[in-house]
Amino acid sequence: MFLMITEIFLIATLFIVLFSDLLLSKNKRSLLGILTALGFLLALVAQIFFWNESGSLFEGMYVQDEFSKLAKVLFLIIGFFLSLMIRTYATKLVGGQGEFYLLLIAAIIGMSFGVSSTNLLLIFIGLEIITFSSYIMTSYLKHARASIEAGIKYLIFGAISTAFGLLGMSLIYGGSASLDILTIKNALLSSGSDQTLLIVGFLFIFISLTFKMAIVPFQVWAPDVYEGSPTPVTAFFSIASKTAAITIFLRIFYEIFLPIQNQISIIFAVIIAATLVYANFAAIPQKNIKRLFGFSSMSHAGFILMGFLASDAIGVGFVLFYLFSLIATNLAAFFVLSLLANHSENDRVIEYEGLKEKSPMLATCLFVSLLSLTGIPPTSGFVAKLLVLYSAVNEGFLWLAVIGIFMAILSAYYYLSIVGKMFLEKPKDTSPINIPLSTQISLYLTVGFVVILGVVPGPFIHLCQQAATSLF
Amino acid sequence: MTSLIILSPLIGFALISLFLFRWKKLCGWISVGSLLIPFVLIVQLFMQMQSNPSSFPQVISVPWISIMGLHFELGLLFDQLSILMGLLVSGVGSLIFIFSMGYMEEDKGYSRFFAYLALFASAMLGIVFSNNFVQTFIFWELVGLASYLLIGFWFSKDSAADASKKAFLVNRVGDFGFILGILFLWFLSDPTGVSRTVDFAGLAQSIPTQVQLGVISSGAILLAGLLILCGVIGKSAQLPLHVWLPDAMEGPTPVSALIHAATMVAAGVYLLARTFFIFTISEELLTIVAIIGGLSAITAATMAVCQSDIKRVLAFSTMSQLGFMVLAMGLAGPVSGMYHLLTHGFFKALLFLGSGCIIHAVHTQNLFEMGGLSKKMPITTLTFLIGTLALCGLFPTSGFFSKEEILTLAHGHSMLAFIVVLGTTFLTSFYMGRVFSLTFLGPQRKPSDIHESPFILLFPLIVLSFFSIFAGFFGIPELLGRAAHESHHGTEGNFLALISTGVILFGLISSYLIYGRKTQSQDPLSKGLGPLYTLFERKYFIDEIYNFYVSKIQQPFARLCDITNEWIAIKALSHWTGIVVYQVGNVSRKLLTGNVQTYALILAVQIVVIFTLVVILFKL
Amino acid sequence: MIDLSFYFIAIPMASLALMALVPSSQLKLIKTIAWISSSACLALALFVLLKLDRTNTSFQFISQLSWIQTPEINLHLGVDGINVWLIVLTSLVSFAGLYACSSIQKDAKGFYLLYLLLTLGAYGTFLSVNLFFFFLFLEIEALVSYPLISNWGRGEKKFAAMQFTLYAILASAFVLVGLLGLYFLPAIQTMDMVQLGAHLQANPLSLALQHKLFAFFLIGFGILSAVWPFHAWGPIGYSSAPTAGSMLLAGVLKKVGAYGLIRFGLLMLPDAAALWMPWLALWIMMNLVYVGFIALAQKELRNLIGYSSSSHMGFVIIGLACFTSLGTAGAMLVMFSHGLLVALLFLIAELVERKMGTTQIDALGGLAINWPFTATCFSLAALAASSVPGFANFAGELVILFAVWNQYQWLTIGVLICVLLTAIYMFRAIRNIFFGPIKESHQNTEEPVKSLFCKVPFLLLIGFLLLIGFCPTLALKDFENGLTQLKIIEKGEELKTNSELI
Repeated sequence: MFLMITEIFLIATLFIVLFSDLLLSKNKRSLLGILTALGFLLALVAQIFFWNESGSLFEGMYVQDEFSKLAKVLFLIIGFFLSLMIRTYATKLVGGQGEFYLLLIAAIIGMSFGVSSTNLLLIFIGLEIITFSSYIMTSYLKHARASIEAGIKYLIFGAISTAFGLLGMSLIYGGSASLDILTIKNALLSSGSDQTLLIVGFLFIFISLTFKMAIVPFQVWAPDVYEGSPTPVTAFFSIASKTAAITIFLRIFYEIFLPIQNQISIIFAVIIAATLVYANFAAIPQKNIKRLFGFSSMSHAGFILMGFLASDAIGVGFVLFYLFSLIATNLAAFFVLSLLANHSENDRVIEYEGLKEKSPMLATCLFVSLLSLTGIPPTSGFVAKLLVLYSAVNEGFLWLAVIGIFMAILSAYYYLSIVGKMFLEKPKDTSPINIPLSTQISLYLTVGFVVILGVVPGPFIHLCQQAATSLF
Repeated sequence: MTSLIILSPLIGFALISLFLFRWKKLCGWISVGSLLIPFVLIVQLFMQMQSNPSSFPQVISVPWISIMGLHFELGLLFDQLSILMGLLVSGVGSLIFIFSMGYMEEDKGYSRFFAYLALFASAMLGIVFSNNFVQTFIFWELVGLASYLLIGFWFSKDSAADASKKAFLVNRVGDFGFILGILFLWFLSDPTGVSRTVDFAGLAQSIPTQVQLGVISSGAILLAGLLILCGVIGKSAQLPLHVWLPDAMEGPTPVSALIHAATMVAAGVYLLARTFFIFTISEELLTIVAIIGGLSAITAATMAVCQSDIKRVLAFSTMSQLGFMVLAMGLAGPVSGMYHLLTHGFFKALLFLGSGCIIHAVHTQNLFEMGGLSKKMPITTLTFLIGTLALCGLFPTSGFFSKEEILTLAHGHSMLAFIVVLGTTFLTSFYMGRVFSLTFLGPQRKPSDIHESPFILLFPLIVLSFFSIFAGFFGIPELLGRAAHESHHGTEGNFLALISTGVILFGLISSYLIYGRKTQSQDPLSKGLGPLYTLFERKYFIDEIYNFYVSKIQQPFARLCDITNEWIAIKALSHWTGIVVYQVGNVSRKLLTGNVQTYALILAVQIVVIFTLVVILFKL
Repeated sequence: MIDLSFYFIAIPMASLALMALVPSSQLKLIKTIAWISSSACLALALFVLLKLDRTNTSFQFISQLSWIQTPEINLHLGVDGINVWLIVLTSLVSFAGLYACSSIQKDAKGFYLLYLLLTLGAYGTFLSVNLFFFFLFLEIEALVSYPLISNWGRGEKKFAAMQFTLYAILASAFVLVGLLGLYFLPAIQTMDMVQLGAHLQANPLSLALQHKLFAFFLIGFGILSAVWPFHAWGPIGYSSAPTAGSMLLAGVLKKVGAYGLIRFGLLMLPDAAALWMPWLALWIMMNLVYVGFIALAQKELRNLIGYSSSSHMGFVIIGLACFTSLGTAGAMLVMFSHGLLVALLFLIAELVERKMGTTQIDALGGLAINWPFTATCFSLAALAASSVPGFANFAGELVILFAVWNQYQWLTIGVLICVLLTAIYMFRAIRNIFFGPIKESHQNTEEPVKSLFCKVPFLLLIGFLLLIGFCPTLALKDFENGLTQLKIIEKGEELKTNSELI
C-alpha cells in the first residue's frame, strides 16, 4: 500500500483542487495555488517518511526502488515550486486558474507512474499523460496568438514522437514477445542472432524520448514553443518534462540495453555534439529571453546525455546530480522571468537592462542562476558540467569533451551579456518591482540550493550514486 | 677591512640619499670623507707593496651567485696595476671632490650632487679592483649610471637631459658587445662545460693554453677580443662611439674633470691593460686596436682645433689622448699606455678644474668671449700653463716622459704610426696654445669684475700642478712592473725627444701668433681652412648620421611594427573572431523560419542520418 | 588538515564574505577590510618565506580538504621553492595595488569585491597542488577581469574587456584540455601534482602523447604569458583597466602562464619539452625583438608599460626554453622582479594620470622639478627595467644570458637586443616625462605622494627589487630546491649538442 504513497497523495490533491475550484468564488482563486502546493508538500513528506519501503506491485509492473523514490522526490519538488510560480503568474491567466493546477498535478502523476514502471505499456501511459497535459498547458493563454501557435506545433511534433515511441515498443515486443523490462533484457542477451528488432525498437523509443528532452533530432520545436507558451509552462518544459524523459530513459537504457552500450555511445556522442553546436551557436543572436532559454535547455540536455556514456552507477549518479542542479537553477531563473513577465509584454532581453536598480534581489538571483547555467565555479552548474565532462573523457570521448568545453565558453557569451545588461546598463523606468512573499521564499530556497550544491557537492553526489545503484 | 674601499663610498651614497638629504654641508664632508678612507687604505697597500712585493697580488672575494653550473663572486684584486690606478682614482677624485665643495656652493641640488659623486667613486673603484669579468661589467654599468645622473644633474635644461640620455644609451651600445664578449670568453674557457670561469686569473691560464693546443680557433679569439673592444670603445669614447663625450660637457665642470678626464673614460684603457693576455694572442686584434686608437687620436685632435667652447676643446683633447693610450696598447706596449693614462689623469684634471675656475669667474664657456685673464687670476694662469705644457709634452713635465714612450713605440712599429703620433702632438700643442692664448693672453674682453677664485678651488689646482710636473720622475713604469733595463734611454731616444719638442714649440708659437695678440670675435682659422673648418667644427657630421639613423630608420621601423601589430593582433584576432561567431549564429537562426514544414524537413533529415549511422555501426 | 597555506585562501574569502554584508554606503569600512586582508596576507607571505625550511625540496605547509569523493578532488595547497617567491610577489603587488584603488569612486564596493576575488584567484593558482583547483582559480582570474575592466576601466573599455576575457578563457580552455589529458592518460588517475609528478618521473607517457599534451599546454600557457602572436591582448587590457586591476593582471596573471609551463611542461612532460624547447627559443625571438620595437613606437605611458612587459616575458620564456635548472631559475627570478617592476610602473602611471589627467607622453614634461619622489621612483623602476645592476632584473637576466648562451649560443643576441631596446624606450620615457623644462600649464602641481603612508608601497617594491638585486642567492637557492625534480638536467646538456645547428 505504502509503495504508491506519492501517487495516492497526488490523486487526492487532484480531487480536492477540482472540488474546491467549483466551491470557491472567483476572487479567492489564488487559494487553489496554495492548496496544490500544500498537496505536493504533503506528498513529499509522506514519500520521505516511507523512504525505506521498496518492492513491486501489479505482478512486477510497478516497482518502487531507490531510483524511483529519488525521481519522485524530484518531481514533487518541481511540482511544489511550479504551483507557486503559476500562482504569481495568475494575473496573466484570463481563463480559469483551476484547470492549470489540475493539469500540473496530472502531469506529475504521469511522471511518477512512468518512472516506477518496469513495463513498456505503463511507461507509454505515463509519457502520454505528461504529453496530453502539456498540449493544453502550452495554449492556455487563449487570447495570445503565439500561445495557440506554440500549442499546435507542440501537438504536431508530440504526435510524431508518440508514433515513433509506439512503433519502437511494438518492434521490441516483436523481438522479445514481452513488454516486461527483465524479459526483454534476457531476450536481448540470449537471442544472439536477430538483435536487430530489439536495437531498432530501442532506437525508435530513444528518438521519441528526444522530443521531450529537446535533443537532435526532435529539437526544432523547442525555441518556438518555449517563446509562445506562458512562462510557467516554459519552466515546466525545461525542467519537468525533460527530467521525466531522462529518468524514464535511464531506466530503459540501463536496465535493458546496457550490453550494446559501446556502439550506442558513438551515436549518443554524435547527437550530443550536434545538439551542443546547434544550440549554442543559435543562441548567440537571440533577442527574446524565453527563446534563449529554449536553446539553453537544449544545450543542457546535450550535456546530460553525455552522462549516458558512463557504464556504471557512478556515471549515472552524475546524470542525476546534473538534473538536481538543472532543476534548482532553472527554477530560480524562471521565478524571476515569470515575475518580470507580468511587467513586460514580449520578454525581450533589452527589458532586463538596469534590473539591478529596479530590484537588486531579482538581479542577484538571476545573476547566480546565469552563473550556474554557464558553469562558473561557485555554483552547482559548474560541478555538474565538470562531472559530466569527466565521465565523457573517462569513457575516452576526449574530442566530445573539448567540444563541450568550447561550447560552454560560447554559452558564457550570451548568458553573461544578460548579466552585463542587468548590472552595467541604466534602466528605462526605475520603478521598483515588489516581490510577493512566496516567490521570495522560493527564490531563497532555489538560489541557496544552487550555491550549496556548488560549494559542498560531496554528499549530494553520494546520494545520487546510491540511487543509481538500484538500476544495475 | 680592505673591502671598505668599495663599500665606504657606497655607504656614503646611501647615507646621503636616504637620511642626510637636508644638511648640505654635512653631505659634502661625508662624501669627501667616504673617498678619503679608500685613498688612505690604498696608500697603505701601496706602502705594503713597496716593502714586500712578493706578497702581492692578493685576492679577497665573497660568493655572489652560485647555482648549478654558474659561480660568480665579488672580489678585490690587489696588484701593481690596480693599486696605482686606485691611487689615481681616489687621489684625483678626492681633490676634485674638495674642488666641487667650493664650486657647487650655491647650487640647491648640493647634497644630491655629492650623493651621485659618492656613487660614482664606489663604482669606479669597483672596476679598478675587480677580479672577474662579471663584477667589472656590473660596476661598468653602475659607472655609466653615475655618469648619466651627473651629466643630467641640471635636468631641467633640455640639452643636459638629452646629453645624459645620449651618454647612457651610447655606453649601453658598447656594453651590448662587452657582455657578448664576456659570454663568449666564459663559454670558451672550458669547452667541456664543467669548470667555466669569468675570473681574470682563471681565464689567463686557460685561454692561451687552449689556443696553443688549437682547441680554440684564432678566429674565435679575434671575435672575443673585438667584442671586449666594443665595451672599451663605448666607455673610453673611441671613434665610432665617441659622440656622447662632447655633449657630456653639459654636466657641471667638476663632473667633467672627474668623469671625462681622469677616471671613467680611463676605465676602458684600464680594462685593455687588465685583459691584455687576450689581446696579445692574435696579431690582427692588436693592429685593429692600434688603428682605432690612432684614428681616434688624429680625428679628435682635428675636431678640437675648431671648437669655440673651452670644455669641448678639452673633451676632444681627452678623446685624442685616450686614442694615444689605445694606440700604445695596440702597439703591444700596455705599460707605456698605462703610464700615459696615469700622467694624463693629473694634467687633464688640472686643465678641467682650471677651466672650471675660469667659467666660475667669467660665467661663459665661449673662448672668444674671454681674454686677458692672466692679470686678474695669476695662480689659475700659472697652473693652467703647467697643465698645457704637460699635455703638449714639453721636457720637464710628466707628459713628456709618457708621450716619449708612445713615440718610441710608434717609431719602432711603423712609419705611419710615427707620423700619426707626431701629427697629433702638433695639433695638441696648437689647440692648447690656442686655448691658453685666447683665455689668458691678449686684451681683456669681459669688463666684469674678475677676481681670483677662493683658496678651496685653488688648492686642488696647486697639488695637481705639482704632480703634473714631477710625476715623470717617480719611475711609474717600474712600479707598473716593467723591468728597469727595458726602458731605453739610448741615443735614438734623445733624437726623437728633440723632434717632438721642436714640433710642440712650433705648434705653441704658431697658435700664439694667430690668437695671442689681438682680439678676434671670430676664429681666423675658419677663413683659412674654409670647408675643412666646418667639417672639423661639426665633428665630421657623425652626430647627424646617428640622428638620421634614429629618426629615419629606427622610429619608422618601430611604427611599422606597431601598425602591423594593430592589424594582426588587435583587429584580426580579437575583432573579427567576434564577428565570425556572430555570423555563424545568424546562419543557424535563419534555419528556424518558424513554419512547421521546414521543421518537419529538418526532423526527417536528422532521423535519416541517425539511421544510416546505426546501420553502419551495428552492421545490420 | 589545515596549515599556513590555507590562510592565503581563507583570509580573502572571509573578507569577501564580510565585505558583501557591509552596505555599499560605508566606503570607509570596505576600505579597511580590504586593507586588513591584504596586509595580513603580506605578513603571512613574508612569514612563510622566512619559515620555509630550505633543506627539504617537497611541498611544505600542506593543507588538504576533500571536496568531492568519487573523482577524488580535494583542495590541496602547498608551498615549495618554485611558488614561494610568486606568493610573496602576489602579496606585495596586491598590497601596493590598494593605493591605486583610492581613485575609484563609482560603486567602490563592487570594485573591492572583484579586487579581492582577483587576489584570491592569484593565491589559489600558485598555491594549489591539485590540478583541478589550479584550473578553477585560473578560471576565476580570467572571468573576474571582464567586469573589472568593462565597468571601472577607461578608453574603449568594452572592447578591451571583451577581448581580454575572451583570450584568457581561450587560454584556460587549452590548459583545461591539457589538464584533463594529464589526469586521464597516465596509469594512476590522480589530481595530486606530487603523486602525478612522481608517477610520470617513474614511467613517463609515450612520446606521441607527451607531444600532444605539451602542445595544448604550450598554446594555453603561451597565450597567458603573451608569447608572440598573443602579445597584444594583454597591453590593450592593461591600458584600459583600472590601475589596481592592471597591476594585478600584468604583475600576476602573466606569471601564471610561465609558472604553469614550469609545473606542467618542464616537470611533467620532460621528453616532449626537450624537443619543443629549441623551436620555442627561436619563436620567442619575435617576442623580444618585434614586441620591443612596438614598445618603442608607443606614445602613451600605459601602452608602453604593457608592451614592454609583453616583450620582457620573452626573457622568462627563453629562460625556460634552455630546459636546464639554471635557465629556469633565472626565468623565475625575472618573473618575480618583473612583477614588482610592472606594479611599480603602473602605480606611477596612476599618479601621473590622477594629477595630470593624461598619460600621453608628449603632453607631459619636466615633472621632476615639482615631483622629486615620484621622479626618483620612476627612474629607479626604469633603471631596473633596462637591467642596470643592483636590481633583481639584472641578476635574473644575467643568469638567463649565461643559461641561453650555454644552450643556443648566438640566440643571446636577441635577448641583448631586447635589453638595448628597453633601455632606449625607458630612458626616453624618463627624459620626456620627468626631465626637461616644466610646461607652463602644470607649473603648480605639487607632489602627489607626500605623506609617508603613501610612500610605503613604493619603498616596499623598490626595497625588494634592491634586496634581491644585491643578494640574488636568497631567491636562487629556493628555485634550485624547487627544481630538483627537473631530472632531465643532463638532457639539457645533451640538448646542447643537437642544437649546435642553430
